[in-house]
Amino acid sequence: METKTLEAHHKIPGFWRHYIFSTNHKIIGIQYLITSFFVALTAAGMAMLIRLEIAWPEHSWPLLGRIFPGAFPGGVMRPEVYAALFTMHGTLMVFFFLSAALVGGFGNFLIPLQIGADDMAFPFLNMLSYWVYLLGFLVMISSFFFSPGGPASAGWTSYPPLSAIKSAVAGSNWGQSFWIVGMAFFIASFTMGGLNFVTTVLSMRAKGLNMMRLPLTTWALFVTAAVGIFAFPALTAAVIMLFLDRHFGTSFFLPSGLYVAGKLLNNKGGSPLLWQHLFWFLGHPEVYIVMLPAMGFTSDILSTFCRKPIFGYAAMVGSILAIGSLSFIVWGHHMFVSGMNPYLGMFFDITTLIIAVPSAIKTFNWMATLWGGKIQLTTPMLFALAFISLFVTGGLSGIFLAAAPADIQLHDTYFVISHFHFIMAGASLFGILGATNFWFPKMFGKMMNETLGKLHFWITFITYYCVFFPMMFLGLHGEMRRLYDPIQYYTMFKPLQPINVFISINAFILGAAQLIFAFNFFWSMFKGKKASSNPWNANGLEWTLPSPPPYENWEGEPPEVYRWPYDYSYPEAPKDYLPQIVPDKAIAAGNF
Amino acid sequence: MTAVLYPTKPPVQNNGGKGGGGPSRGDDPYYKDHVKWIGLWLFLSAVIMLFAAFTSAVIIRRESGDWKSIYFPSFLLINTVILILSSITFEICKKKLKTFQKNGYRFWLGMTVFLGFMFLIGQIYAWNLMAHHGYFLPTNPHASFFYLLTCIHGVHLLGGIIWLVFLFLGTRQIRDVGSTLTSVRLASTYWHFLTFLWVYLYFLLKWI
Repeated sequence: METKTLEAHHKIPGFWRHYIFSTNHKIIGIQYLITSFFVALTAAGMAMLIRLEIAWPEHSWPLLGRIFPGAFPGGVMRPEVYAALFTMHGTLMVFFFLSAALVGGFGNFLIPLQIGADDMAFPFLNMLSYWVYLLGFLVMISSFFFSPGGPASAGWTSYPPLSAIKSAVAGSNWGQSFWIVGMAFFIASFTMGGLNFVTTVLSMRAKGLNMMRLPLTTWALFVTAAVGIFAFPALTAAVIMLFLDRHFGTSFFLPSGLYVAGKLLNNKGGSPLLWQHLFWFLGHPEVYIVMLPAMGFTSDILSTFCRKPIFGYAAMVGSILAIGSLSFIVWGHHMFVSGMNPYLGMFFDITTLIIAVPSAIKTFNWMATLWGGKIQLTTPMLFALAFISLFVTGGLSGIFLAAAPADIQLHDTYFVISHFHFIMAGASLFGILGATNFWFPKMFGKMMNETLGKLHFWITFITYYCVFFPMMFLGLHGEMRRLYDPIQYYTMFKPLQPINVFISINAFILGAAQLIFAFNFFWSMFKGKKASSNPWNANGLEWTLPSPPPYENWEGEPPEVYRWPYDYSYPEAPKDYLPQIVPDKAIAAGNF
Repeated sequence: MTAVLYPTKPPVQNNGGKGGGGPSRGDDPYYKDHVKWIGLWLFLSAVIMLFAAFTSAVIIRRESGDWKSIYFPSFLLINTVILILSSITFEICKKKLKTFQKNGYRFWLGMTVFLGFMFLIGQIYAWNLMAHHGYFLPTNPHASFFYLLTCIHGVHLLGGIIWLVFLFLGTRQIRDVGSTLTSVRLASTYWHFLTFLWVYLYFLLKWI
């Protein structure tokens, strides 16, 4: 019996089961990560087209006209295409890139390694999660090619009636159905992943690794997964009802008296606001789903490259839990202008402002970690520092939007676009880039190129501010989001147009700079410098394994943990780091 | 005979603090059960959140002027009783397994599957009755919710039936009663959950 088990542990399956239909958490994590990078590249391309249209509205680009004759007749983008592009950009980026990379990618790769487990609790479910995610993405992207009328065009939030009436706009027809099916796959995939993560963290930690010794990355991913399990069902319910409204004539979201193309619709009494409530009940926790893991990565990276313990660990854990639970009672702040009762508005106003408290605790703790540290400005560290910068910029602009009186003015303007591109999109993106640079050696056994990494960082960081900071001024001047042509019909925005041109030029540089990262990623995978098992002298359990780790990490012999992962510059230790597996006795004996 | 049926070692509740480590942990059946239970309850909490979302939708939607009460098939009361009976037969089935009465276990498991099927057929019959009285999915919001919620509950129950069928097919060779008992306990938790859910939906749809 014993020998049989041992043999099973060392058995590596053949090519298909190993690299394609793999149940191994490391392979699944890498599959998720690479797929999501591909998604990001696609969605970033869409953003470039969007910026092209905003800066030079209805300008003719003969080259684009030749490449996409349907979307750019005569080289001018059709308005329907513009709406489809911003819808798909948002959907793909929020769900299929950020959530998938952070949770599916790093969550899968890191959780078992950081808790000393050989794999996830339910490996088969894990494999299913990736393939269902991929299917969801393929359904979404195929709406560009196979959907008559083009992809969904009602925005990533898909508000009815636009999304519920098939004849409303071109994209409301088949495109919206593709969107619903794609999202259903994504939700199923995320739920499977979330189940796995929570179960794994709760029950598979190595000996001695209690919850208060977990790296903050694992803590954040754990809470994120739990938030996902509780929040996504609201969207499931909403998309099911939306589907019935669209295809079976029900009136969950469609009110009476709607005229489309001069014809009165049959629907009666539905509530479009019901969709908004259900959508944002998921939508706001979703923001934290993409925020929390990036916060976790930042904490671990900062501590490693300051050679100092993370400041206020317990407060950090408390803040993660507080942010995770508060995220369920703030959704109404997306709906201040929906005519909600002002008293209810005040409730959401206050709960939203309360989130600033745990967020500030985290920020100050990061600052305090930096204080007096021996800071090493490696590429991951630069991204972690930039994360804090973006987080503070986005967070402070969020306070304006949390206050209902200010939000009523700023709602649906570029101020909002700027805000969430800093805090949710930007900070998470920088979290992903930092984490990729940091854990790349563990994933592939090679180092990423530092020179290219720093070049990529500086261009990305500077142009990111140049793209999104000026948007705050556009928003304060009242320029609305999602305008196909911001100057022809709204002449008062004409003086602001140079800002839009400046933003677009920077956006193109920002987009192009990501190719440096893509090159660095794939080039380093094959030609990078060979990585040692612990290139950053870090403490986490993952760094005690070879790079890349064996197929079954500890091969049935999990490590024993004696300390938290933040013992940097420990007074009695001979080196400035102290892995979690070193017992106190070993330090005393100089045995390390 | 019965000695082998019960865990001789207390199940691992939570390894927090001390960790559950050790070389043989992955092969420890008690530990594996623990993992399954967490997974099941997480899944059930997702289902609870789904129906909570639907409930909030019902509450908001009925505020609008066009909400009218519908014909509610009284046949559904019989159907409710059938589902509650199936939960009872499942409990009997569990008892039989614990006392290692294999035939009894198979009989009562089969009975539960049968009653589950009867319930689903009954639901479809109720839909027919509704349609007969002129209530279709889009007729009015109450009818929409009736069809929607019964359908989503039915899909979950169908999943439960498939699970039970797999358990039934596995009754041929029971090597390790302990692990079979865990599977049966997991399935029965899911099944009772769906019974509770249906009773809740029954009242929600009837009296709201």
